[in-house]
Amino acid sequence: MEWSDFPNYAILIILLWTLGLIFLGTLKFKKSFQLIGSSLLSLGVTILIVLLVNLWISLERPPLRTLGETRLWYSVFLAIVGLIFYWRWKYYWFVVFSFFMAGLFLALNIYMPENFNKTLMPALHSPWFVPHVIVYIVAYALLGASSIVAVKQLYDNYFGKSKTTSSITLADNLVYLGFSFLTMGLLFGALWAKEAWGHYWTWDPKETWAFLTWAVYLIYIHGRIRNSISNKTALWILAIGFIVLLMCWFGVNYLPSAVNSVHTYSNG
Amino acid sequence: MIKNRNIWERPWEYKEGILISMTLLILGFMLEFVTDGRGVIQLLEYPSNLYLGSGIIVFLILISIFGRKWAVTEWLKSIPAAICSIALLLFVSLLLGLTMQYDKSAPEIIRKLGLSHVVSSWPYLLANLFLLIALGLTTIKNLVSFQWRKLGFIISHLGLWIVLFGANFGSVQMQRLQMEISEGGINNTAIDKTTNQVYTMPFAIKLVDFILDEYTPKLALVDNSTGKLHQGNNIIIVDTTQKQSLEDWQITCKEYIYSSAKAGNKYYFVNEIGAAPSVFVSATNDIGNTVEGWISCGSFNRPYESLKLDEQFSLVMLLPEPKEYTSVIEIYQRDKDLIAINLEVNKPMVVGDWKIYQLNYDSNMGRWSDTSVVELIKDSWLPVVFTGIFMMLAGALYMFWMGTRNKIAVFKTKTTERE
Repeated sequence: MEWSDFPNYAILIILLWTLGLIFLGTLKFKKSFQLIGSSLLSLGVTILIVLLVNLWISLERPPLRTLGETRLWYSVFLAIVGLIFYWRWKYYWFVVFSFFMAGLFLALNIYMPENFNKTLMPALHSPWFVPHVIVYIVAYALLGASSIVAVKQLYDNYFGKSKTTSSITLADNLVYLGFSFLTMGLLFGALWAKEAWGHYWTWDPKETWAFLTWAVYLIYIHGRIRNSISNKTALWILAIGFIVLLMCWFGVNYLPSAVNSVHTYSNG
Repeated sequence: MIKNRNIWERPWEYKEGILISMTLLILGFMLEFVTDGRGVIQLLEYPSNLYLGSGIIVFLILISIFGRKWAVTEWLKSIPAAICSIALLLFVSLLLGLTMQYDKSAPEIIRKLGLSHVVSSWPYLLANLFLLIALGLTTIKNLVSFQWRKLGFIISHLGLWIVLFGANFGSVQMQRLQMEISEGGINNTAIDKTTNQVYTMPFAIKLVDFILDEYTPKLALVDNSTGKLHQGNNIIIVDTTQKQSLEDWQITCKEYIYSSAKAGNKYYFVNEIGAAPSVFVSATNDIGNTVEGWISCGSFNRPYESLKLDEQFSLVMLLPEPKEYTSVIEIYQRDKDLIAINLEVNKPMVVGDWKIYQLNYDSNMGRWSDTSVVELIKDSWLPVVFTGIFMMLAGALYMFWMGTRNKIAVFKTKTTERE
């Protein structure tokens, strides 16, 4: 597939997902409808994966360089996280939000297609490239999911029915997994930087924001030990943490200091 | 959390933590201000980095032995102290993330407060010391009362401590030099670009050949009125096998010559220095107008040529981007065999204490460049920092494994309750 065919596929996937969620939601009492719903969601994810593989082949390089390309991977992993958690624990709202976000990221790519091009600068020709980015995207998907949980819970606390903070254990689960991936991504980055640029850490703007993201989730994890901080504070940290994460992922490119960043690859 | 506790009454918690963090931050800014924004570079230079570093280790050990019952020591080993110290470093790093560093045009006050050089400023150093002390004391406590189930905790915490320690006190000793070598030439001196000091290396490098591999060039639209690249869906790669579109224009590349020169009004293949890529294109727009012609990106000694499509756009070829570049070099050392290698980006080479990196070339000359710039780096603390990094990686894997297992167990009971 070529990047130019992308909108058609993306719309197809979003339609499949919408249908799937409707089947799961409105008709959730019937087992057969649940199966149809899950199948539609999975079919959408499968098409997206095939699309990525084709893109990889046609670009002759891993499609991990531009923000647009990383958004595709993010959609895949977020959808998979949503499905797994749904199958395992039947949280309907969680699957809705994770697919909504995955769909949102696909839609973003329809409206802001990043220039598709085959070139890859020499510093990115490295065996570290794929593990570094994939591990990061998995971390982002898990942590993004944790902030969905946090925002939903905060909303319920302030405006709604529930006054408990029971779903924080679900958030803990996601953060623990996400943080271990985040740490690996950060350290793979440091090891790669030593090979490519001669130093493991230079406080490049992307590195600075990666550290900030890591520190926010580190605070969350410590705060959750023996409930050292209140659940509400913890949930707020997760909600804010995701903003810092997005800043690291996209926002850095728009900072004045990004001019000197070695991580700005997508303006080429 | 213990309620109805006066501030500074044991055990200290977040109130005290916030006060301590704020004090350190303000103290940092004050120290920076009174030293006229000179920062802490001198304090961390060799050999004072060693004094400060060993001072901290001795301090941590002494406090662990003689001061372990003090309120402040108890607090430093607590979760509130962990959170406050991470938060302080986070805040200082946030300043780093939001401000332009080493910006000469920054106002005087920014420089005097250390905000123009955050990583060598007092607030940053104090935040790091706070974290090193809190983390260090916690780690020592758990090492002393070692239990196997604490292994994951110890590995990740000690790993982080080693990384922070090594990076803060060791990386200042790193030497980073550049050596420029011409094809056929040999060089044994390198220059430190920050101080412009020249060093004689324990080896000499000869550049046998410099090879640059380029991607096929791209075509782009230029706005005639501004002369700038048109934004949007504006770049295609030269490809003679298919039609491609740029805005309203269908572009067909009819003939592409990678190495060419112009004679008359046509381009021909030549093999000489500065020969540039060229392509014969045919462009048709939505209303059926067709424009044809040669375009070329030129080179350091050839002019470029563009094709005017209409009043709004011209079609240009962009300079090809480098795909890979390699220096074929020979390294000469006293009393040792000659080493002949191909030096590439991402594939540094170790010679004695030094690591040699392919850094740059004469980008003006592009693939015709006959000079190569290599970077020579000596970082004697690298094994320390890498030990820490690998310990942290092990810690992350442990967390991936145990974290989920414990949590899923917690989670199972939750779901059962729900049902």
